[in-house]
Order: sequence, then structure tokens, then C-alpha cells
Amino acid sequence: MPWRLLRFGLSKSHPEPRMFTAHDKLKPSYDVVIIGGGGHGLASAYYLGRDHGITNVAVLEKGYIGGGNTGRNTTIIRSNYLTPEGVKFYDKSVDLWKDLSEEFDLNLFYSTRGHFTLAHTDSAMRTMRWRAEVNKHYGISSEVVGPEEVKRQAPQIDLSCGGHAPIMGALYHAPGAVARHDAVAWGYGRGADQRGAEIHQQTAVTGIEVKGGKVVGVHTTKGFISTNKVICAVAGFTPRITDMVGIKTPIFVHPLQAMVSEPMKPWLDTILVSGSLHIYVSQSARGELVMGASLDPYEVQSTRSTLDFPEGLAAHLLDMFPFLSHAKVVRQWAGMADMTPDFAPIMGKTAIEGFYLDSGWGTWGFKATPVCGKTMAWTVANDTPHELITGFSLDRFRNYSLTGEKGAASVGH
Amino acid sequence: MNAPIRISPLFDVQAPLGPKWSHVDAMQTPASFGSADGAKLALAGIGDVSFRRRAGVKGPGAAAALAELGIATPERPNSFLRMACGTLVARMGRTEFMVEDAAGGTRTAQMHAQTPGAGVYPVPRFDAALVVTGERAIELFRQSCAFDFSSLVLPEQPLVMTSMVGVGVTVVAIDDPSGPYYRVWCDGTYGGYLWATLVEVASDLGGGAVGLEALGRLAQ
Amino acid sequence: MKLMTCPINGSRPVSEFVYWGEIRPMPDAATCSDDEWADYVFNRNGAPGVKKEWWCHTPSNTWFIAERDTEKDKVLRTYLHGEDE
Ligand SMILES: Cc1cc2nc3c(=O)[nH]c(=O)nc-3n(C[C@H](O)[C@H](O)[C@H](O)COP(=O)(O)OP(=O)(O)OC[C@H]3O[C@@H](n4cnc5c(N)ncnc54)[C@H](O)[C@@H]3O)c2cc1C
Repeated sequence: MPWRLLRFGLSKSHPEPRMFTAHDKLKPSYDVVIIGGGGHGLASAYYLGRDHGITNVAVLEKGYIGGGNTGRNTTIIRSNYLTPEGVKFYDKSVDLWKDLSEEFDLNLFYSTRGHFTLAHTDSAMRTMRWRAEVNKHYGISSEVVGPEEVKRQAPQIDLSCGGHAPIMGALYHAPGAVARHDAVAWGYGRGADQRGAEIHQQTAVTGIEVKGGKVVGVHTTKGFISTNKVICAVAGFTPRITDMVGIKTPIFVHPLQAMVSEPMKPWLDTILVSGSLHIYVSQSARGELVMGASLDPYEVQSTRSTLDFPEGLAAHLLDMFPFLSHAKVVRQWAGMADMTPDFAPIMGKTAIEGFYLDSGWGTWGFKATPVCGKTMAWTVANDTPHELITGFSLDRFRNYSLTGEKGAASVGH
Repeated sequence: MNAPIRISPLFDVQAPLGPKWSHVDAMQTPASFGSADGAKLALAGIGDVSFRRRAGVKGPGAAAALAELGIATPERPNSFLRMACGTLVARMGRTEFMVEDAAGGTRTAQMHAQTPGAGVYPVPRFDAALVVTGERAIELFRQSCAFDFSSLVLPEQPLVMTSMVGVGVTVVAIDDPSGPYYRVWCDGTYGGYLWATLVEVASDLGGGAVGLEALGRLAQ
Repeated sequence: MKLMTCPINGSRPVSEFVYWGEIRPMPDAATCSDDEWADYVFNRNGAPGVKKEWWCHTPSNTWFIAERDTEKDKVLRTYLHGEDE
């Protein structure tokens, strides 16, 4: 390693190619335009090229790659959801994750840790049993365990949680993992770029041209481009884009905040989530505790953070781990979460021909990045929803056929 | 002594401290927590007056319904008054009232017996009711609540609805020759938590739980 | 600490309040179509803007309306229902 670094230092021209090509200008037209250079948009571009040979593709990003929720999340990957649609979908994603480091030749620091969802009440225990049964039915490793197993894997925990909310048991999901989020965006970006897709940063979409119910082009801050297919993968910005084509959705935007502590020696290997205490925590490869809670209580369409958040989170964390009372918080931030009423995403075709949504990813979409890219690419290439996403169509709200994931996604994400 | 038929919402958190008990208005209530009660009272005392009988009423016709029973109502929202008979009448918001009997009073019984007319909605009350006393009471509130109680103008008989250690509370500040003291009401189900937390903070300030004997007329 | 002004109880930390979403007119359930009803039940005005929202001061249970810029998180004014001059 140091030799390689030395070579970098001494070379006149940079010996390594850049992650991806910088294009000065947009072409007048593309086969597919993807709005949003987060993990989902870049993965869609990657699979369009790799699986379907569609390479005349532009990814338009108003800021920089991975600067949205892709680079703001707490990187938890799991598949122990509640509905059959959700479980099958996220399980496919967990499968895809495992090979990505090799596929990209880039270390994603994908690290399987095991994932506990703690139950402090009888009703939470019931939800855990239900989830375990749905999960096992689809062949996913998921089981209800007692408090002693939690203690074994996280010996520092106070099982009584300060006497407020004694832990009765937990749903344990061995495949639960974390990964390095920006590497995911960069890996997919580089892979898409190598296959011919163009990534344009600092390029915002300002309007979408629709004629006779069909997409014909996109207005951007760098001019107009014509295209018949647009994928909208902009997370918290989704309502601003759907307003451009006049589509109504149930999406509402609340901030989701997170914070990290100062780095410490490794002591917490597993991922812990508690719905009752509104908190989840894991320890990153750098030694920081990565911590989050549930959604902010009201709509805000910006990435401001608040003091209430670390105060509340710290209080609950200390219930679980009193010894952390001297740990310092070093950073906090927020992302804009595109929430849906049933905590399931909104994906696929819409009433406007050529306008595809990959949205409603709220607080739980990082883990789905690979499978979203793959199924969105398939859906666009075939102009038919991929079988894994039929339960996520926008139409479900018109038909009252919701895909209720709240029990598995409201704090655990 | 008669067996109590009403149980204070604070009983479960008080009993482990082993106070000397008394029965007031058929409720078992701590008479004394020990010889230090008086000293605590002067610094930051927390007393229990949940035994007082109370009744609530709200709606556009509420003030008139109270007037019919001869119960006076405060003119301004968020203030209280004390009738000559000792009855405490609190006005919360524009059209909601809470009435608390003085010892031996029958006002609330009359309210319960009244058939509500149009625009009159009885509100059942299951409060934990505390008295907070002492020169460090303001400090106690500063550590448990975001509302600044030192901003209150006592002669106006102010009433405040706010959140204290996360619990919704109604508070009145009472001007007294011995110094201001406070009455605090919250839903009884949160009472044990509120009481225990306030007692813990009060202990840091040299105060703590106090019984009825030390409270004396402040229990009124 | 973010402050919100309750028309009755005055300025308080936002933690004393709950947010109940944008005010939305309800269609007549007896006469509207299924699509109109589903639209009312589920769809939201998700884009940022100045919105009229329901808020409640929980210690006193006071419901009121706040006009708020949801991008800047700035409360422009608050008033009781029916008291909008
Ligand atoms: C604090 C936090 C914690 C989270 N924790 C988890 C977790 O543990 N596990 C999990 O699975 N998920 C988690 N999530 C959710 C997850 O981060 C998101 O669902 C996911 O990253 C969405 O990816 P995306 O690519 O769709 O969106 P983003 O990464 O947000 O990308 C959208 C991009 O679109 C761009 N854009 C917007 N408007 C325009 C425009 N008009 N023109 C051009 N570009 C535009 C934005 O700049 C942005 O870069 C968390 C989210 C947050 C905020």
C-alpha cells in the first residue's frame, strides 16, 4: 500500500483513471434520462447497461453524486420485513449486495453483523413472532430470541433499560449488515460510466415536457434534452418532480436525522434497534457509534437538524448503555425522507407514458439500492413492471390495496 | 380509622418510603415522611393533595352552568380564583374549568349532580395533584420544564399549561405571605413518574417529599 | 429550541405541540366518486410551500392553525379555527 501511495505522490500525470468521465455538454437526446445521482439512479443506469445493453443514458444530478440520502443514511441492510412483497424484494437485494465488492472491484466494507429488533412489550413480541414466521416462510434467517441472547451479543446492555422498558426478547436476523454508503454510489457510478452512461453533476431538472400523455423531453439548468423515458429517483425531492408532470402521490416529506459519536475501541459488533425507545445503533469500521431514531415529527423540506434530536436520542441510548454517559457526539445531520402511508415504496410505471417512479423510499431505501437498480432497469427496458415490484405500484392507493410495512420499518428503517 | 375507598395515584411510589399515613376525604395520604419535612418544605417540598375532590366542565355553556351553582369563574383564560369558601376555580383556555373543593366542600358534588345543558360537557378528572413549595421551587422548575415560572405576575393569579419532564401539566402560582408556592395537576396515570422525578430533582436542591403535617394550610 | 405560538397559551417549545398535517377540504362522501375519495384519503401536497396546518398544544389540548413555510421551517402566523381575519 505505501508503495502505491508513493507512486501517486511522485507521478506527474495522475496514474489512476478518475472514477468516471466528466462530460462538458449534454447530448441533444438520450434513450433514458435518470433524474437523481443517488445510489438508486446510478444503479439503474448500471443495470440498464449491464443487463439490457441500453447505454445511451444520462444520469442528471443537481448536486454531487451520493450527496442525497445515499450519503446520509445509517447503512443498515436487512430483509426481515413484514409483507411477502417486502420480504422477497429485500431478500433479493441482500443477495445482490454480497457480490458487489467483487463486481465493482471496490471495497464496500459490506459487513454482516446480525441485527436485533428489541421488544419491550407484549404487543412488540407479537409483531416479532409474526415477522419471524413470514420471514421463515420465505427462507430468511429470522427468529425470536430471549433477553439472554441479546446480553450475550451485547454484554454492556442494561436489559432493564433503566427500569423504564425491560427487554422481553428480540427478533434476531443474522444476515443484518452495514456497508460504506458513498462507495456504493461511486461503484455503481463507475460501472455505469464504463458501460457508456453519462453522469452529469451540477445539472438540475427544471421541467418535464409531456405531449399527448407521453414524455418527450426534459428541461435542465444546462438546456433541453429530448427523451421518451425518464426515471425519477430523487428521494425527498419526488413531489417537486411529480408536480412537473401533474401526478398526485401520497408522498410527504419529513426529515430523518442521525448522528455519530467519537470513535471508540470496537465493543458493539451487532446492530440494535428498539422501536419503544425510538433508537437504533451500530458501530462503524472507524469505531464511531452510528445512531438514529424515528422520523422528525413534522414536515420540513430541508436538511436542517435540531438540538431536540440528539437530546432525545442520547437519553434513550443511556437507558440501554449507561456507560456511554461520557461519550461525545461529533456530528449530526438530516436527510429528507419521502414517506408513504404504508411504509412501502412507490415504484414502476405511472399514468404518464415513459415516466417511471422509483420513490417513496423514505427511511428504508439504502438496503434496496441494488434491487431497485435491477428491477427499475428491467421495468424500463421492457415497459412492464418487474414481478418483484408489482406490489409497489402507485395504483395501490387508488384501489385501497396497501402493502403495510409499518410494523417493520418505522424505527428500524 | 376508616378504610380508604380512594387510592392516590401516587400511592405506589410513596409506599416504599414508609411515610406515616393519614386518611383525608377517604384517601390514604402521607402525613409525614419524617422530621426533616419542615426543612425540605422551606427549600423544595413536594406534597400530595390528590385527595381533594374535583370536577371539570367545558364548552360554550360551561361558565353559565357554574354560575347557576353559584360558582364564580375567573375572567381571564389561564387564571384561577379562590372563592371565599375556599373552593379553587381554575380557568383553562376560554371555555374549560376545573373546580376543586376545600376541605368539607360540596361544590363538586353539586356539579356531578347537575344535568348538563346545551354546550356543557362534564370532564371527569383523575388527577395527581401536587403542591410544590420552597425558595428553590423556581430552580426545580427550571430543571424540569421549559416554561419560565419566574416570568409570572403572581397578583394576576396565573395558570399555565405546559409540559414538565415530558408530562402535560396544569400549574397555578399562589402568592402567599410565606412566599409563592405552586399547585401542579397532571393525569393520574403519569402521576407516579412526575412525583418521583420531581422528588429526585428536589432532593438535589435540599428538598424532597413532604407530608400533610408540614404542609399545613398550604395543602388547602 | 424551536418555538411555536399557541393563540391561547403563548410561545412554547415545539415539543409541547403535535402536528396534524395540512388542512385539506373533504369532498362530500355521499356524492363524490371512488377516485375522488381515494385521492382525499391518500394523496398529499408533498412539495414545499407556505401551508396552512393543524397543530395542537398538547398540555391544554388547544387545536389551532399555523401558516408555515415548510422549506424554511418558519411559522408566519397562528390563529384559532374561524378566527382568520
Ligand atoms: C438519516 C437517514 C438514515 C437512513 N438509514 C437507512 C438505513 O439504515 N437503511 C436503509 O436501508 N435506508 C436508510 N435510509 C434511507 C435511504 O438513505 C434512502 O432511501 C436511499 O438512500 C435513497 O436513495 P436514492 O438514490 O433514491 O436517493 P438520494 O441518494 O437522495 O438521491 C437523490 C438525488 O436526486 C438529486 N435530485 C433531486 N432533485 C433533482 C433535480 N431536480 N434534478 C437533478 N437531480 C435532483 C438529489 O440531489 C440527490 O442526490 C436513511 C435515510 C436517512 C436520511
